[in-house]
Amino acid sequence: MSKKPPAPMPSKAITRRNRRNAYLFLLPNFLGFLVFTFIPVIFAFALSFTNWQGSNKMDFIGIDNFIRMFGDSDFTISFINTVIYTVGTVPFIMLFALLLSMLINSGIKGAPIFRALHFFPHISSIVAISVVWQFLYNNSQGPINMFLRSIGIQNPPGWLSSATWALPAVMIMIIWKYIGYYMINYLAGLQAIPKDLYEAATIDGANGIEQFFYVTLPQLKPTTFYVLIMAVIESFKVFTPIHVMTQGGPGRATSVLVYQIYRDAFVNFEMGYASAMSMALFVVIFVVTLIQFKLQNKYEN
Amino acid sequence: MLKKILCGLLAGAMALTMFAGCSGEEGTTSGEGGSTGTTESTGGEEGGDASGEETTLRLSLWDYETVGYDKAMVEAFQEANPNIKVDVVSTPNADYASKIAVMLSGGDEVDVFYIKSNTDYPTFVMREFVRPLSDLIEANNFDLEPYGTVLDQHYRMDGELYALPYRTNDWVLFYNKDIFDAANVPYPTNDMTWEELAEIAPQVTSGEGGSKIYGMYYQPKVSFILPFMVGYIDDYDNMTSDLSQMAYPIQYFIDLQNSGSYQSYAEAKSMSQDQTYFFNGLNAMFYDGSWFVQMLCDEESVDFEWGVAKSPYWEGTEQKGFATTTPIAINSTTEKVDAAWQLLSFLTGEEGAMVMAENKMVPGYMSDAVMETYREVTGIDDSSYEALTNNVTYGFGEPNTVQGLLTTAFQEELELAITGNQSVEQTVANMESRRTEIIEQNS
Repeated sequence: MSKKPPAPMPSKAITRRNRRNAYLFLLPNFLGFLVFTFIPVIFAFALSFTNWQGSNKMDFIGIDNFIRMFGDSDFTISFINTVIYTVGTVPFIMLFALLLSMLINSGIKGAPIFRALHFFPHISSIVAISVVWQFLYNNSQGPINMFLRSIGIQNPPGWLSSATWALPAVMIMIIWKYIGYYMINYLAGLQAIPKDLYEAATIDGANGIEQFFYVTLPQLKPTTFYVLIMAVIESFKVFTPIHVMTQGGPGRATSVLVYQIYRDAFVNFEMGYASAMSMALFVVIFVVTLIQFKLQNKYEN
Repeated sequence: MLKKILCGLLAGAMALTMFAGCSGEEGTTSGEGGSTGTTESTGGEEGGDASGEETTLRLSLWDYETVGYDKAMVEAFQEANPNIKVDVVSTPNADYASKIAVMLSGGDEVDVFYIKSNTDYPTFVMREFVRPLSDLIEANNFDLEPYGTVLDQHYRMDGELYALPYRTNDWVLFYNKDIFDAANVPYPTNDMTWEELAEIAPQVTSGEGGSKIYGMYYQPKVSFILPFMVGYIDDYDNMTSDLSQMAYPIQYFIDLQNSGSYQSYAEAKSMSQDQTYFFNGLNAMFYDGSWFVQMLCDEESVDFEWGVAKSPYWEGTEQKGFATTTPIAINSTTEKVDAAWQLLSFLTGEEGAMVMAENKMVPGYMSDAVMETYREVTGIDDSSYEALTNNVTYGFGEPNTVQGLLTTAFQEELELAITGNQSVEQTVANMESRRTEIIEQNS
């Protein structure tokens, strides 16, 4: 609170009033969260212990759903795919986003234009992007393979129709799409670094590379941490590009967890089992995030 | 931030359906009360009809405005039954299968609804979304004869019927007469094997690049390809058939693809190809459901003569063809059973069938009068008409609830084989092991 000197009013009353106002302001958002997120999550948690299939009587079946997951090749395959997808996208997104933001921050001509251009994929609809990339990836007539052939690659990958390349194809597209968004995050982080740190480093004789490792990177730690967590969560939740571009195929080569959950819930109507899988997804993301928090604390101390 | 982790949307949707599910269950109990009460109230309701009391029915289907014949049928029904008002709930085709199931599990008070296909139907029966029809069929002396063999193949579960088909589609072979004439090759006959087809396909293949005419065409969807393959196995049943026999038809397909008389599946799929390639005269032969007759008749860009031949069959097997049907059912929770039956029996019975035939569609109810109308309206030649009638059909086996899961799993494996991602032996082995897994998990 500001320190306007003479306020001999009963401060308790003021605090109470302020609190009430604050809670009132929070209420709409909190209500939305409660009704559309919190209660459903609790329900999903309860559902995960039942065999509910949409219309039948809900029977409590203990942890059967969770046991079933381990024997379910649909689950294990989509889990592995999700991990591959996350490991294969997040580091690249972060790396490219950082490089780009430094490039733009370095004061090159037309920086605002580049910034806007790179942000463009982020504001475009993911469905539209997926459809366009589907054509780019076309086996014989897609621009990507035409280019590859023109530079002398005789047998370019079949991309979306190849079980080996379909997932990398989606990953490449996603890296491209998200770079712009996280670049903006990094840009904000970079601009918040006080100039005098660089000046001091220059006086101490640090060259560009040393400045990057001893000034820029440490100063960007909070941003990096934020970007890492958001990107990991985002990638565990991937659904739309898969749904649009491959429907999990060919075979099950691009089936990811959320897509599998969707299929079990709304195609096969295994609501209980699908809820159990979403709980498993929750646990995975929770653990990953927890580890990241721990690591961050460790590095900060 | 962690809130986001929780997959809020998905869980939200689940919980919403669950909220609704609770009310749905209440609905069920009252519905049961309703249907036990039906027998007593029948007279009462009929009395109501006579006094001109209006009943409103909710009918759920897809693409009401664009498909045309559904609208024509509903309008005909309205005219014949002014005391029953039909509220149509239409959903886009692609979303329908999940939409109707969510509606029903959410306790939506839909009275009569379409089911996307006969393979979805057993699931609706197991979920108790659909009302048994035997008592109504018996009480109304409804004639089941014109439906043919598909009733037993697709609908009867433990002796009971829960839906009737308003559309029956034999899968047949369409051919472009002009291409055959130009190549001086005789038209496909109503008694032809797939092996014979593979021999004539290269003869009607010509050209290069984007304007290449392919001798044979399947829509690049595995769900359009698996059906003709399972015909190779006698009395095919998803649950029990020896899947190692699938190696032969899968290899057949791959060979056809390699011969160049069928475009690469992966290629066609990545370009989202569909029947327009046949419309544009780029395919000599095309395997599709009989609904395609209507599309061919109504498509203005078709400037060539075409014909229909019975589905080819595999050498050494009995001549038969794959068939799919589109069921209409009554919601198990509806209390307006009599009005609902009136609508259902209109849509799936002779009156509805007549409207279908007038719209160039083969209806489920294939009485002589109906088929005669169909023949007149479509103007197809004699051998094409013969191709569409009196067919011996097969399906994916006894209706059961894992039918859909098994079909999906087989399709996924098949797709890997025909896109060159997996050997045929591996494919067949995977089909077997996934079937075992699915059956174990769902028993």
